[in-house]
Amino acid sequence: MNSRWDRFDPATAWQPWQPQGNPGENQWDFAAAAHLNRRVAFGATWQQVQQDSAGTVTAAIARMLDGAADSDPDRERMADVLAASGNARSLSAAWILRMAQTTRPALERATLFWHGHFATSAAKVTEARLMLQQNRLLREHALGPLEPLVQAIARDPAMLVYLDSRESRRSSPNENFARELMELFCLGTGNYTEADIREMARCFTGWEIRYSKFRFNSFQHDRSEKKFLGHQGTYGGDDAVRAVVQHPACARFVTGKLVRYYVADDFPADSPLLEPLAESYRNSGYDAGQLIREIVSSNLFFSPECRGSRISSPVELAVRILRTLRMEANVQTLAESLGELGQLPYFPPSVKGWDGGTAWINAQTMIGRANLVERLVRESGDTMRPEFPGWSRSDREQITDSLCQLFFTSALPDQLRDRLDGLARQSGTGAREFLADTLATMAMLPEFHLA
Amino acid sequence: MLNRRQFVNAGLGTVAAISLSGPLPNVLARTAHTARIAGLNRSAGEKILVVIQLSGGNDGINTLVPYGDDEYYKNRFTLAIPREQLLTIDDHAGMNPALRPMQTLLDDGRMSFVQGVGYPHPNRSHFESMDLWHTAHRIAGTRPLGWLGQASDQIATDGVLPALHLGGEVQPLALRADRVPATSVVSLDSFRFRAAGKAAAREVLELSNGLSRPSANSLLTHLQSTTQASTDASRRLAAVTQAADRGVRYPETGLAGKLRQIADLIAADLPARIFYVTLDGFDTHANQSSAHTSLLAEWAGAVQAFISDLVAQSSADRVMLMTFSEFGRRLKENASGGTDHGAASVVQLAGPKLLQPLVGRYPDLNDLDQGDLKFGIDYRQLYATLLDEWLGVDSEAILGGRFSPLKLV
Repeated sequence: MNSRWDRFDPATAWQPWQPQGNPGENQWDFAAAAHLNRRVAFGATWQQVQQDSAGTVTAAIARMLDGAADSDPDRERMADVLAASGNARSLSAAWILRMAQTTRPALERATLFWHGHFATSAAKVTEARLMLQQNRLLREHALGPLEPLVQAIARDPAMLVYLDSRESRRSSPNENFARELMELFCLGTGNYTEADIREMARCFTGWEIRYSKFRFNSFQHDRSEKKFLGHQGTYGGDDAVRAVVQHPACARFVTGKLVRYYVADDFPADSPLLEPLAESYRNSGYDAGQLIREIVSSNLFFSPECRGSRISSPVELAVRILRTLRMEANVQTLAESLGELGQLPYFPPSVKGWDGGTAWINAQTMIGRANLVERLVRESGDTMRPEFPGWSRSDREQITDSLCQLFFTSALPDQLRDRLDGLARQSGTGAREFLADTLATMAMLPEFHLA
Repeated sequence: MLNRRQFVNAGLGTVAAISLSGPLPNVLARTAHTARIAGLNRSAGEKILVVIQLSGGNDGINTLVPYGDDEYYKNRFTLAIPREQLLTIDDHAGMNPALRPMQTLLDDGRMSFVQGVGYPHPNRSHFESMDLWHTAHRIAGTRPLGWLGQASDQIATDGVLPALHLGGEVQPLALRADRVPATSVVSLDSFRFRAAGKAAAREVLELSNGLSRPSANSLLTHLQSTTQASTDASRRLAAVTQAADRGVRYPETGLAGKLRQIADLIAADLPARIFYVTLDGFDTHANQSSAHTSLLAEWAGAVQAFISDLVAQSSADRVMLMTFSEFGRRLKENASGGTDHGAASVVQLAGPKLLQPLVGRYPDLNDLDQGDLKFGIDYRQLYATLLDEWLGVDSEAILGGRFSPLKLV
């Protein structure tokens, strides 16, 4: 099938990008640094992007992926208190706040990826504490190797509840987890059979929860021989997870999903471009941090094809605005709005997670997204501290220009940009109000929803 | 469903009709726009399904009362409604007097009760039975899709909003789709670009909608066409809500308020084919009488006003309203003046001219299944009829088999 990625050579697509020193397309400039920040870290302030573009691309990536740990004991305590209150919706709000304020946004965006990948919903797992526990687990492993992550997820009480593993008895193994482990978490359809599912399900019998913790009940565990994916033996759940992670299809499946998350919504799952990347993922011991670094350092990532080739999810859209403008918001109502737009963290619609891409967009959500932006900026009051050049003297043309550079992945049609500049010249309002009006206007433009 | 070529070849009226359910290439959109101005759209409008879910298990026996069967009076020792108070339909069944507003709909041939609707091996759990009604399948796997969600997947084209749920409760599983998320809204205010309230912003939006974008980025194309569709929908809605009162008085109830909003949207030609609302409180285990009466009155008043409104705007013939509940209730009342979870029950249809006021046979009260009515019509037969013949989508893929349709219209 023809695709716009065909011009790339698998041998060089993922090679580290070497920007040119001269002005032109292939340059490490403000636009490239803004692109990198949007994709890896939900976007950044004008100063941060400026600072990144003044240094090297390698340094900017290292800053995002290797930044110092962000451990705020107060925040963790607050999360514990919220979880103890039993309300998972408060946890959603607290996580959104964390995404907006953390010094390691790249870690949060990666954690959000894994949340959608190992999707577990508080709509079924009604014990909020278990959901928080899973969120911490995902964060801990978000930029690390895959097998420890999958082993931990397989034992995670929230997942055990969500996929009914705790109901899995020797006499009647529940197949949900074994099925999704292969179909959605590691291999994708076509790489296993129904018989593999039935056999593998027996490996996870006796995996239970007691006092909110994983417990192995040897009485309920099926110790007899199992046969799956070409293996045969008296395997337990650990062995099953290992076999799935080491299956040849796994690296490519996970790589494909990460590429759709970091590169492009419509990146074809069967693209030959994925193979070299999957190979180096395998060679790194399935290390997500290294894979992400390789992706976002690459020729392909900085190519024109990659710019603006993702539709921002509702969470990405909102967090980008909060971070870019250094703005505060009522995260409880924000979480509610995000739910209406289709993405309430902790409440993915199914174990498939969020489909993303064009699925975010319909006639209602288009209006809802623009209205969300309008409300965020209108209600931000004095909290907004964008510190754009010319901000202190209310230079409105400069404000419009800064917003365009930060929020649009490519130039708007000339007529549209001219109109926005015209509004900036005519406006007599103060900087904050002008920015709020302008951003609310921009949010109605289709380009605003691309990243 | 028409494919794009057939649709281009179809006459102007058809183009106009289809334009209501999604953005079109510019040339066609202009043609459609012309057609709309010429007033052609309404006559060619696509069919719409509106679902009311009565949550909790409505007592079908005291909704459509089998007064011709002595067993009714023997088993409903305090809850039975005397024959003389009933609004009789034939010599066997009559409506609860709380349904009086619906009498005009019956008289006009715009309402039917489908009797004895259920499924084999009835499940008396609210959740499990509701899941069956929502998905048309015994739940297998962890990613069930709703029967209407799957219909939406078939209906949807670029940027369309095929299904809309009005209400603050969790979106019903029935609407869960694979490709096109259904939308839940609490109020119609959310159908308006708030920023466009300011003239400068509105002008930017309109300028943007008229500007073509580079077609190399399909995501941008999708966003652009959806933004155009949203702008169009919100403009039509604003025009309708500002338009003169359609002269129909709705009761001051929650359900009536929601149905009135749906009538507004239908009048505005909002590109949606499926609407869903719920009315909760039907789990009447104790002191059923007064609670049930007021719930039925809310339902009947709202439905009557809604259908009258549709008749007034000449849309009733293309809007089917279906009211169902996850199960009926036990024939024999309990010791608390209430009724317990049952099985087969009635489904009500309203809107277009219907062939007969009663469809199917009332289940025999002498032939019960663990104290509950036996079904004569599988709910999936009803779904198949609504999917294939009303919405024009393929029911077999959704229901996992062929179910013989009912003769309704």
